[in-house]
Amino acid sequence: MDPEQNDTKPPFNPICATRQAPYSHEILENLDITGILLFAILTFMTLVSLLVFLEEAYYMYRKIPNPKNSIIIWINAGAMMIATTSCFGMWIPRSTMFTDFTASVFLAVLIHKFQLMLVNECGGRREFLSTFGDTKLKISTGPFCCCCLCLPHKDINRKTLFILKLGTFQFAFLRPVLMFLAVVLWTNGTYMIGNSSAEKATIWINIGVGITTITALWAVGIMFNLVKDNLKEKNIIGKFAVYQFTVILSQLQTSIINILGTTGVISCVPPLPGPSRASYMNQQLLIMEMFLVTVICRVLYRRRYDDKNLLENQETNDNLRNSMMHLNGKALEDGPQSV
Amino acid sequence: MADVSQQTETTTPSVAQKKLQRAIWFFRTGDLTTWNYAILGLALAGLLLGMFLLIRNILGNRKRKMIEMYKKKEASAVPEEAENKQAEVYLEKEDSSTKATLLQKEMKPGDITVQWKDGHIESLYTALPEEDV
Repeated sequence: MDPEQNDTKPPFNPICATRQAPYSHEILENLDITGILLFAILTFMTLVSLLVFLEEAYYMYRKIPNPKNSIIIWINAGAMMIATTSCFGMWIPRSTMFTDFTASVFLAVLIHKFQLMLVNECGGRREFLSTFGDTKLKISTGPFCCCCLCLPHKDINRKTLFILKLGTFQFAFLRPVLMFLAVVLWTNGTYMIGNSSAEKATIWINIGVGITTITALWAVGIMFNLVKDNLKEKNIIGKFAVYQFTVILSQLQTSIINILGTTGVISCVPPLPGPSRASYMNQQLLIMEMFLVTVICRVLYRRRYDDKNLLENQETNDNLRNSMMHLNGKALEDGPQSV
Repeated sequence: MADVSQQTETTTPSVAQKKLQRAIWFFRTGDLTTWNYAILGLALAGLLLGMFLLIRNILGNRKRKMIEMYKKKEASAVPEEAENKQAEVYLEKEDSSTKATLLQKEMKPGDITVQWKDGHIESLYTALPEEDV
């Protein structure tokens, strides 16, 4: 290379070289008409899903007794939270680490709440044990579908139920702890996104998160396999499909797009460098998907309870009216003044 | 010696050149417009689909509730007719007066009022409950 070439400017944009996320005013200044429209639509979607969730939560709180209503509200909140945190991350790209942290904490609790809901829909722990006391538990389900066919079938007793609940609880506990560790180490430079060397904490934390996630998904898969025939009329297959969709989208899609960002497949577009643009794209996709999931959750989780409550009201109204008829008839016989 | 040094000089530039080329690719500037249009189209489609599902669900729930209320009214109307017709006539007369009193919120002595779960108050001796549509 000639020495003169060393003095010329590098042929790439310095913004791309820094690989640091831009400030939000830089993003907003560089938006053209499509960008503005996109931001408006996505923010509107987030607001609508927030409103839909709030209305749903109020309805559930009024109509459904404790503790069922809190579990259902948590499950409905999952998609809305992911949409909201993604919206924040889209507007303020530098905060991606924190928005991811919040979303993953919520998702971890969501998976545990879904497991609790499956037990609750069967009528609580005692009902569950009495219904399934004599069935054998099939363990070869979930993410390990066809690999471990040789695993024995287990009895269902209090201990097995406890272990199944523990499977998701460990995820609800460990995931926030690991993400907290990641954020703390990120401020120190020890956790660097995309760096897979052994000294940096990235790979260890990611492996830990992967193991806990797979364990939790396996536990939910086992439980779902067990109760799905019982709860068919409560639309459990639809609810499970939506929940799986949420989890897979927010986890798998995020990791794939982040990997593409760090390896350079996703190019740099000023003012966004590569990895930041990857998060940006991921957040936009997530907002759209979670908006649809929130609406579908409203359709699924509202129908049953609406019918049940209506029937209850019907019965009470009929009873009251019948007793009214008797009273009216008696009043007429006796004469109004004697009443 | 000179040849070797010349060779090293030629090899190291190519390595450096490769690194530079890799860096150029890595830090290349792309065009955002295709992505923007694609995702804008997707967002619009998603928004329309979402709003459609939401509105359909809201209207469907409301319609189902109306149908249930109507069925309830039909079911309760039948046994009323079967029982004392006289009572019905009497109650109908009573109906307008009690309705008037309820509207004025005056309480005659001996009036028994029922407060339904959804809040409205009515007298016990009415055949037809006030419907909130």
